[in-house]
Amino acid sequence: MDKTPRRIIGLIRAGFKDEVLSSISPWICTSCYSCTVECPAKIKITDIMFVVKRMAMQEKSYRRFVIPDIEEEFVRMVRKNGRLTESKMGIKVARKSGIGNLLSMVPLAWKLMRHDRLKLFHTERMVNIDELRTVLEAMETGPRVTLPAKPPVVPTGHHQEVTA
Amino acid sequence: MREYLYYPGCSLKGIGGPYEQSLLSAFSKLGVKLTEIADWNCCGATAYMSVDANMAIALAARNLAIAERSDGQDIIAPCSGCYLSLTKAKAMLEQYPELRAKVVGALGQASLRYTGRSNVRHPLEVLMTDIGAKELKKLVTKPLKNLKVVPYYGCAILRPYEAVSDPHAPTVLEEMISLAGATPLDYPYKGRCCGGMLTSGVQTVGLRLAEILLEAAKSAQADVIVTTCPLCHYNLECYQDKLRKSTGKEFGVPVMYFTQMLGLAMGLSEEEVGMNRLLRKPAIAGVTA
Repeated sequence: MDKTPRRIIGLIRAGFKDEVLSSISPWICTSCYSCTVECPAKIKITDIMFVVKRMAMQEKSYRRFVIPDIEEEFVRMVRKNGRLTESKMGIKVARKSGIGNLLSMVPLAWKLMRHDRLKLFHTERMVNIDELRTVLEAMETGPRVTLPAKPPVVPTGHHQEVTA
Repeated sequence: MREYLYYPGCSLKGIGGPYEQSLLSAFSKLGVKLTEIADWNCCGATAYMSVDANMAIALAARNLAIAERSDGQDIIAPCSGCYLSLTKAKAMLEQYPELRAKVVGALGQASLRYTGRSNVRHPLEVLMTDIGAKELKKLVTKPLKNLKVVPYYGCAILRPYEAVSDPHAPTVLEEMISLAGATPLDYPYKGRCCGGMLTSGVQTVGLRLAEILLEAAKSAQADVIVTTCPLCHYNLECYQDKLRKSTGKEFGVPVMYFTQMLGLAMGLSEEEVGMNRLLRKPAIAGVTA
């Protein structure tokens, strides 16, 4: 992490756009939402990190390293097959983080295969991928809808209604 | 007969296989019918949301639209990541009318209809609310006596949509451990991050997060960690060898799904709940080591 979350928020408020978009910190966020539920001022920190990542991606101003590469690969795989194949994703991730890392994953992969949890030559895919493509292509026409930060609200019909 | 729709997600069809197996066995033992959502697609996880929010919401919404074709049953999403992605999509479509119009239009292009009437729920909450601790306890024929269990919730079922349990002091998993006859341990890290995707991307950070959780479980003298999410399960179970090499610490803590625990307590066999598919089995009476 090159900048703390507090610093990221401060830089955003002060208008240091380039510094924020080129920071690796938002990509280190695992989106566990701890900050979001702890913040006494109800700042939606996790969602702000998502916004920064998306802006950096759209403006191509993010720093190239393994995490944004993984996210892009994920999107490519889902657009192609409609689903994710863990083994293939795992191999791509390990390769991007170095050949040493790829080799270090071999014993684990072998164990998972023996325990019927990993198939090496299997691809997880939808049947009607064209239907999903139609939806995603329709989303690409016309302007993108911007999403101003709003407090999270439990959707209606959820078992326990809790207002944040 | 109770009926729900089942959204497996990619993980339960792969590394999270024992979760799917034990979930299906446990629900069938309870006489609850689960119908897999036809030709579901990836929920988008956090990755799609980091690249394009409009597309991520549409992706999740396709699953919700397909679910609406059924007779109004709730959707059960066992993977915490899927649970959160689908819940978040539904919430955002309620909050942002402009986005909703666009997504509804895009789904319409594929003859799909979205009204927002499907509810997304996690099986832990479904079991404890719809069936209830009292009913579940009646079905426990093989209480897991003397088993010391770490209740580990992870992030996504607790935050930010507080529908499963209190995000600061959750108790529902402890209640389930108790009704299964086991002993829930006091575990201050029960809602802390398992390392998420960082265990494979940035290991110096990701593995350290997993290490903190395993170390605390070991010093609490846990017999097993019980999880509610396939990614938490993977991070805690599968990196113990790697952590031994990098830190010199030997953890040796088994990790199992809450559905496996409940299934065993209800008298299901080891095979039926996929115990043989775990890399390390917990020491439970009747379970072969």
